[in-house]
Amino acid sequence: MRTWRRTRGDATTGDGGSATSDVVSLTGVSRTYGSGDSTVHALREVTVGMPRGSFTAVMGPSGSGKSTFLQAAAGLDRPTSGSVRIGGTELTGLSEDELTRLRRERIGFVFQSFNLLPSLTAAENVLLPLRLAGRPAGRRDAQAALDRVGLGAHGHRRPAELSGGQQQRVAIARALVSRPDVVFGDEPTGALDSGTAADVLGLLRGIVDAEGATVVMVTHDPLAASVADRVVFLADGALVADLAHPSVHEIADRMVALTGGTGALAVAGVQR
Amino acid sequence: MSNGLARASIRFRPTAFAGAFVALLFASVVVAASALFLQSGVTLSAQPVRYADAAVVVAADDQVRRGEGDWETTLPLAQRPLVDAALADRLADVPGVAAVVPDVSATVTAGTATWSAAGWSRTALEPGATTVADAGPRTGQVVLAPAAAAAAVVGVGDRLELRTPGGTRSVTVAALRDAAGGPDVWVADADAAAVAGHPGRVDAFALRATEGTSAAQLRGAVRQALAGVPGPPTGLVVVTGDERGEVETAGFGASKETLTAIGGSLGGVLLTVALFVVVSTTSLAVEQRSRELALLRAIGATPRQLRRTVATEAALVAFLAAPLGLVPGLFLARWLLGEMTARGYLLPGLELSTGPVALLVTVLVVAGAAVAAGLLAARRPARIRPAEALREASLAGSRLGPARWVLGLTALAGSVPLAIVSATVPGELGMGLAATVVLTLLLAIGLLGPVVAGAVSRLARPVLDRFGAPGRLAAANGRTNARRLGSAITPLVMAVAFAGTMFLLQGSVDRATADQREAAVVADTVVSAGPAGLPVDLPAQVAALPGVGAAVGVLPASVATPALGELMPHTASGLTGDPALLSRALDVGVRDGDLAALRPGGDGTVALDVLLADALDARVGEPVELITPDGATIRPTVVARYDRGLGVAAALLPAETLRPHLTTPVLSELLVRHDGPVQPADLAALGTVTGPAAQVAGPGPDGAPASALTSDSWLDVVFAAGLAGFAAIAAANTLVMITLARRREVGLLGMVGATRRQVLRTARLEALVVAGAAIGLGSLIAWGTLLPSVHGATGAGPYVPPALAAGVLGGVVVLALVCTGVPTRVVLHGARAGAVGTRE
Ligand SMILES: Nc1ncnc2c1ncn2[C@@H]1O[C@H](COP(=O)(O)OP(=O)(O)O)[C@@H](O)[C@H]1O
Ligand SMILES: [Mg+2]
Repeated sequence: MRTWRRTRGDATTGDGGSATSDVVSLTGVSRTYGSGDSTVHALREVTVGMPRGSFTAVMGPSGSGKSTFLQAAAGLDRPTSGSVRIGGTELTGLSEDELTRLRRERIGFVFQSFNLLPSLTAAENVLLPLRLAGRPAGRRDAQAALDRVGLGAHGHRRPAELSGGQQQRVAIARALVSRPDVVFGDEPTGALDSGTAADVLGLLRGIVDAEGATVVMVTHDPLAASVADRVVFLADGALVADLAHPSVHEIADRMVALTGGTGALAVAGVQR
Repeated sequence: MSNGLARASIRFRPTAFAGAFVALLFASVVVAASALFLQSGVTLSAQPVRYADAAVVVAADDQVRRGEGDWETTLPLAQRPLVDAALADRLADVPGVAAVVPDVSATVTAGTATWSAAGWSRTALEPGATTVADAGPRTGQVVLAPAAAAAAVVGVGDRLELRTPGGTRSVTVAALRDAAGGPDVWVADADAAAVAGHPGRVDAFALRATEGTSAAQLRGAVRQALAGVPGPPTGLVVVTGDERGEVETAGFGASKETLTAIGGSLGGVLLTVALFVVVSTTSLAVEQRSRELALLRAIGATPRQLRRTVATEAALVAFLAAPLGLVPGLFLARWLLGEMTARGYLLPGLELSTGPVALLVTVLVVAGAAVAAGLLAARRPARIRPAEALREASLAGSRLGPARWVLGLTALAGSVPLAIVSATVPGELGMGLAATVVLTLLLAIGLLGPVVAGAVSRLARPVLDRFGAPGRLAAANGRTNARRLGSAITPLVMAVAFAGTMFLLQGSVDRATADQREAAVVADTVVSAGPAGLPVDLPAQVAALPGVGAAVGVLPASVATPALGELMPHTASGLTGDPALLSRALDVGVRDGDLAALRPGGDGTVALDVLLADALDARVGEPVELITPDGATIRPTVVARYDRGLGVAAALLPAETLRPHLTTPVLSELLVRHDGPVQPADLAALGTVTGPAAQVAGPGPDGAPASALTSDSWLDVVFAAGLAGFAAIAAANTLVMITLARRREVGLLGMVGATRRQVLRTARLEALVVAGAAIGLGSLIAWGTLLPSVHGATGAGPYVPPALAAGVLGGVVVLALVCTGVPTRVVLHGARAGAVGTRE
């Protein structure tokens, strides 16, 4: 088994995020949906930081708030309370336009599916963030980005003409094209078979190792999570564990504990 | 940049824009037709033919003007009023006038032939003539065109019976004369005005200028000379150039007004509806792409960029669709013009003005509508946070923005006072307001669509639950996708409401008119005039026939009254003869007062339909202000109020009162009551007096005369059919769009084991829910609008022709089933071909 470059010490819990080195930091972030009796606490007082050049996996049972976490961290959604900083910029109080600009300049996204505009070719999809930003973007930028994900020969194809794994790789190329501070992935391998998933994960690992990129990836797959430097666990909206370089088995055991036992027991077990 | 994105979207997946394209195409067709009508009306001019050689023409103005400045309202008169023949002397004294030619036209009949007649002085206007031709007819003589003489089989020296608006005359043919573009018959100048039914007054004066006097100079001199001279009620106009043609062509002003009104006001309603359809279609298309738009937002498109992309797409589609609608629009306008001309709404020989301005305006208006629709439709996806958008993409909720709530409820509330006003304003204006009520209610339903759909699916659920799995599925689909259901229902509601309101309104009015007329005519014989009409003195001759107890002539006219700051025309009839005998021929359903008091003299008298009397707040014994067909104001005393105004006329006056105010005072029909049972000999005697051009209808099997009611509602019916048809196309378009976009859902159903039949059954049940909701809501709107409007127009309740109602309802059900069923089959086929995948 390969060993991944460590960028931080053996963290066990989020330490409040040291603002200097963390690219992404969340402080006391909560998010509720609805009101009154039907209020859903999707995130409860989450505090965590991701240093530059790190690869973090976010795990948890279905409905535990992983997607909500990611969206709050990535400026796609506004938390009900708490603060989110990206590369030193406080997101709270940014206007919708400022938030959008921040997303397209400093953040890359890879979603589980439907990542690409079907009407554009792979190359056009890759260049989209640059074009939206009004930055000059030529064929060469697209070519470079696609080369990086091993799809240099497929730039002219449309998403429908690409396999699921290839589509995800185009999405990664697009996420990287604006040289973002951080790349967020919401189950980027969730819809792929294991072989293809490994390719995509290898690619993400590669950009962290070779280029010092920062990756935050939501997944429910222990194997996928094991590629990360660090795995944080969410349960019922709260951050319940934070493991550095856990093995697949450790991750799997933790997941079983979170899903198998009752929520309360699982949380208690983790905190012990 | 946004541009590239928009173009790529359309190029890549044109089908996603097919719905908007179809909506814009049809919008372009109706807008183009309206714009062409408007342009034709605005640019309509008549080349002078008869007056081509006259420098200046003096005539009465054919517009009534009331009020001043911003408050001035005008009413175009059906016919140009007359001018005093004595004005000729004054005109002859104006410096620069070489000749004054009084012009008189009339329509006369000889046997069964209808002839155009003119005074002999007309010959002075012929090309190259400087004065009247020699050897004109003397009093009692006529000069015939050879063709007319041949048709009537008469020659020089023969006697001829001429039926004229001024009465029947026996004349001698003095000569035959061929003149290109001339009338069929010339009469002596001394006889002309009397033959035309208006002794002492002429249609117009054509003036020739002396050598060295320009038309403009002469016009100035004439205007100066006429200042302060008493003229006709509307005043005199002194015209040169093309305006001479407008005076020359009888009915020019009315035709111009009709074209402009159809193009402007009807076009306005059509444009509103088109806008409505385009907005709802575009919103639907945008909604169907919400995933894509959410993705764009997530990776860095600002709300502005998103709106711009959607608006650019809309504009691109519009610039493709709009030009394609121009040619069908041209054909539509041409067809409508032809039909309207054939039905007498317009002067014969009018040409559609096909200049490029109307077509350019159409393209711009349609593109503007598309862009506005795009901006409106993109509001929601642009405003929403990308995270919500990504989630919502798969679950379109029924939540409404506050703006839609406020606007929707405002429209709903606003329709109530509108409906009340439409009920209290009589006649055409009230019916026009009814259309506004429908539009307002439709706007409310469109805005509150998802909420309405939510209510519909709640109502439908207990019924659907009885239809097994497909039923429960249909119910669930309606519940979770209220927005989509709302989009499906709205245009269909529009189709039902338009068809319902307009057809039922017209049907109710037609029916009430026929009923009232049947009840009102108590005469046993009705004589209907030919195109030339019957002379006003004819009833006296008929009354003198043996066995005739009463003969009442009906002189068709109109009177105008001020309503809501406008001058509203109402039907009016002049009645001839002894008012004491009126009740033997006509039972108008007198409410109060006495029709026997309908006598001329003093300020005159009038009887009013109760609906009009109420609108004018007029009571028996009090004077009421009316504007006559020549624009004069009279203040006759109300002597009676009656119920059967639709069947007869809204106002009844003595014929003698109306006659001097009419340009062509001829009777349209004659109501005859015999003392005993009607014998064939009686009818024959009557026919001899009234002449071969008139139609005599004796009593039918039920004793009442068989008289055909000529309905004036053709245009209304065409308009209603057009609106309903347009709405139906929009509804079909929307249903197809919605169903085709459900590919994934149908694929999923197949994967979890739904059979083809179950899927089709679900689709059928959903279609029936949509149809049922549309019928329910549409009927509600139609009924709510109909009730007050029909009451305002007829004083009675609405009448629903059963065949029509069945047709509309059946049509809606079939439309919903077909437009859901066929695309579902297409989608099923695609799904089985293996389109179920994660790729979109
Ligand atoms: N728009 C929403 N409205 C209401 N509840 C929501 C909404 N989005 C998410 N939730 C709820 O918040 C919780 C967390 O959701 P999510 O972050 O999607 O979980 P995960 O991605 O871990 O499966 C769940 O209970 C979910 O039902
Ligand atoms: Mg999730």
